[in-house]
Amino acid sequence: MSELEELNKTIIALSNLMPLIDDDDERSKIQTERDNLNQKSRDLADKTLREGIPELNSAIEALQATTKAANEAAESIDDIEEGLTTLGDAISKSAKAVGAIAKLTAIL
Amino acid sequence: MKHPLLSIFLFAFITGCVSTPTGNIEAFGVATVAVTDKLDTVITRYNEANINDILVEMAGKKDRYSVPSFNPLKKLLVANTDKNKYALYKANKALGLYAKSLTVLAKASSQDDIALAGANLTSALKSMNKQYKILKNTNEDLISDEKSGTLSRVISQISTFYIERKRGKALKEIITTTDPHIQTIGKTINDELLKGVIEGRLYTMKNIEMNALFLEYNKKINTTTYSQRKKALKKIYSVFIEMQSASATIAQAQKAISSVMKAHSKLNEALKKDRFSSKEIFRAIGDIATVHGDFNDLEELMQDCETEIVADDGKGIICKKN
Repeated sequence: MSELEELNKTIIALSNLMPLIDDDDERSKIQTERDNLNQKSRDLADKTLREGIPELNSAIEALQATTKAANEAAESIDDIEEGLTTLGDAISKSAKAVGAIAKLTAIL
Repeated sequence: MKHPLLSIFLFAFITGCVSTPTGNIEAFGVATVAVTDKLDTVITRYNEANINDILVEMAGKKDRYSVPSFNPLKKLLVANTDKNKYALYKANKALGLYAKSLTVLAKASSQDDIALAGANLTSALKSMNKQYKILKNTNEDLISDEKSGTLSRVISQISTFYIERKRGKALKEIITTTDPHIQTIGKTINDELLKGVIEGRLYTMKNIEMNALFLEYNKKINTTTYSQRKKALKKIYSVFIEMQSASATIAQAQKAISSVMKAHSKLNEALKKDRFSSKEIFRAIGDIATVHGDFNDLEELMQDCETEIVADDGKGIICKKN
């Protein structure tokens, strides 16, 4: 059983006891003990969730690297389509320019 | 085109090639993003439960409070906005971004996009031809409308062919490289973080809240009427259901993550054999969508359980393992 699991079991046992105790002082002592353990459990859980485990952290880094590679691959694919569009645009623009020159030549 | 036979052959060759069906990968990405969004809600609920835990603790004491008494809550709120420091959040976010990137790559420059670019090229070539005729004052075409269309189609098809090969190669490399990491992340999220930390803490926090309500109930037992006691018990029962649901919520989250791991593994196996589509992939992706559909449902856990529903002291209602 992990440390966190043990802490939680003890907290639950103390907590289940509290409503059944009539003596205020005795109950207060149990409550203090339970709250201290609960704080420990909260901190331990927070530490685990924050720090993770080394295996997980290196897997996250590797996943982030392949995500970057996937995004770059998508961008380079989009560049091919963009190139085709740019080619069309360039031809249109030069055609218009040629048209303008033709008109100018006719006037002159 | 000076060699019509060559152009026909090229066109037939390219159009005859089997295109890479990346729709399954796109669907995997979309379904996985939905799972990570749901997992985000589990993280948010856990954070809210932590805040509630402190309020329950404060209310359980007979201390007097003022604004500084809420300082422990302030610490938790800061932690919430600084979620990037949490391994679980980082892992889930990395998984979501990866899934999104696969979707984007799978549908980058679709055939429709290329067809549109090709149509623009045809129109540009026609316009150029028209301007040429004006400039030269001739009726003779530089490039006929028919040839403009054929040229654009061939260029579009070559682009499509090249894009699909490039996309297929990239997807294969990325998915086969990533699979071991996806399996590690999924397993760690499931076993170490969801099962190992969040499930137990959620159950414990709800147990504390419920016992605080029972304490209040027991103290008032001699001064309340039947209706008042019944009302109070109903309130306690709602917390009891929330407590019992803690395990069901986690079990559903684990199931959703497992379905993502399984589908990714199927994709990996298939792509190693250059197969982008199979019934197994389709089924595995369908499973992700089904699992994440209802995430937080005790009733669902009870219906899905194939062994035996048992009450566990530290976890609530769970489906017994084989």
